[in-house]
Amino acid sequence: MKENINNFKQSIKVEEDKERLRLLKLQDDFSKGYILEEEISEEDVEKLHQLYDEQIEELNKSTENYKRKIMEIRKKLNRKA
Amino acid sequence: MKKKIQNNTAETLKILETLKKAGVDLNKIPLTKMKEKNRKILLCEIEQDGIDIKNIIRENDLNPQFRIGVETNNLKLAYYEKKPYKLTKEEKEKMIGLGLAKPKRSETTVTKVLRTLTILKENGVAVDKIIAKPQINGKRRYILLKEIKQDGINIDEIIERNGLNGEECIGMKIMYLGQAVKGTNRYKMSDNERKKLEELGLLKNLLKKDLKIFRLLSESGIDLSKLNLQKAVNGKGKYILLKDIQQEGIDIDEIIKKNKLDENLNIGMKIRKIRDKYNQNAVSEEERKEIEKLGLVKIKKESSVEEVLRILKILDANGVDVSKIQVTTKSDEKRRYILLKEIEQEGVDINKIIEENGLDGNFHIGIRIMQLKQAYKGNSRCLITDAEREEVKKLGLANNLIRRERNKKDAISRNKEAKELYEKYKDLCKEDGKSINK
Repeated sequence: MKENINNFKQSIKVEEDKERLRLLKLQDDFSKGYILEEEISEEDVEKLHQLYDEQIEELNKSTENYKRKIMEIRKKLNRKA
Repeated sequence: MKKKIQNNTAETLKILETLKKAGVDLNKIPLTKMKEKNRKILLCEIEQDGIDIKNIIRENDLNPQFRIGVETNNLKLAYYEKKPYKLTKEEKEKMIGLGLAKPKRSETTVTKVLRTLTILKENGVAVDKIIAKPQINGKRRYILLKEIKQDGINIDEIIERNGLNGEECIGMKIMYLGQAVKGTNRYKMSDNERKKLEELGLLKNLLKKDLKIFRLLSESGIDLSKLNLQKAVNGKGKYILLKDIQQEGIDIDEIIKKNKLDENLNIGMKIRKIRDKYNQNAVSEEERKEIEKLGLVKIKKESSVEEVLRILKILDANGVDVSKIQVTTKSDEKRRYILLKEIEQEGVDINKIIEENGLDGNFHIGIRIMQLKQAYKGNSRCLITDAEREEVKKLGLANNLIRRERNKKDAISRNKEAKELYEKYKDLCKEDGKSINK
């Protein structure tokens, strides 16, 4: 029983993605100008490219979502008017 | 899949035209509402002296909630190619007509100065005798166009007749031209512009004169590639003179006599200078080919990266935005890499550039740009030096982090705008609901 509980605890435990945190910190440093692209290793530059692409895609998705919701409200308002 | 950003160009232009007709100063429409800094202005919120916006909206049946601030801003960004959607030629012309954009500069600083100098020469001014920084009223400073004084020349009349600007600091511009020739400032000069400068007498091409002598020597049988530039005199190295040339089967005295050359010509020094200019890329394409043909430089076989960078730099100097070259094209329903002659960009005459720079129109520029980018990333067998990597970056071909950072910031700002507008509509919807309930 105790073992089962431990297994369950283990399975729901959210482990922080250390690599992602490291990259986010690196990205923040780069964004603030504390570190230059030339000072970042080729491997990390490639990882940062991916991170930027993911973030931009997420933001674009969210923007489109807002736009969709706005259109719905506008339609609703027009109907009422 | 990424969704395309909504293009409201037609609707925005139509509204802007209506507003202009009604007397609204389009350039004074703010992007945001002044009191609520972060909120973009709506059509019904335009406030200008003598303008009754509500009346204009009513009379022209416009949408009062139209996001005039952000859409006008988007149009401006699209005009300057900073947005993901493109404007058609007609739309761009409409923007200019509305006074929202200025026609793109077709002239660079270099061409502008050359045009002014050509007009002066056509009107009898000895442009090669203009002193760029003379002593005026006891002080040395750059001369203005209206201050040019030459015998028999009425500069004011020339200025008026040709619509020139008398206040233009022509002295400083001439100095810029000199720096551009040497490649020591940011202005780029094409071979054609260099030729024009020569025609104006402002670029004394000593190289041409020297190359004529070397051509003569080469035709007389001298192998210029085997010349020792220096000889030992009293234990010290000294550049050789023309009379010092010794080669098997060559009678240098006879060549000098026959061609009436100066026997004391410092041939060693001249070759050294030509090599310096060649290495600094301060020679035209035509001169470069002749220097190589005469054997005055040891030709190192150009690497693939060197070759494509050389061509891209020529294109860049001639106004092509190399970072925006479409590397592929569709022909016969198949996508293929483009050739140099197929490059299309607004205001760019690629055939003229090819002709003026002696390039090959069938050069496979598309695939070579792709290979260059792969070499930059290290995904290719082509070796790339640090200096070449810098060139790739300067030309805007590197897939660098700075560009991604900028794209992210743009995405954040678009997202913020959309969120704010959504919040506003949500409130509007709630208020509307209450009023309906009441």
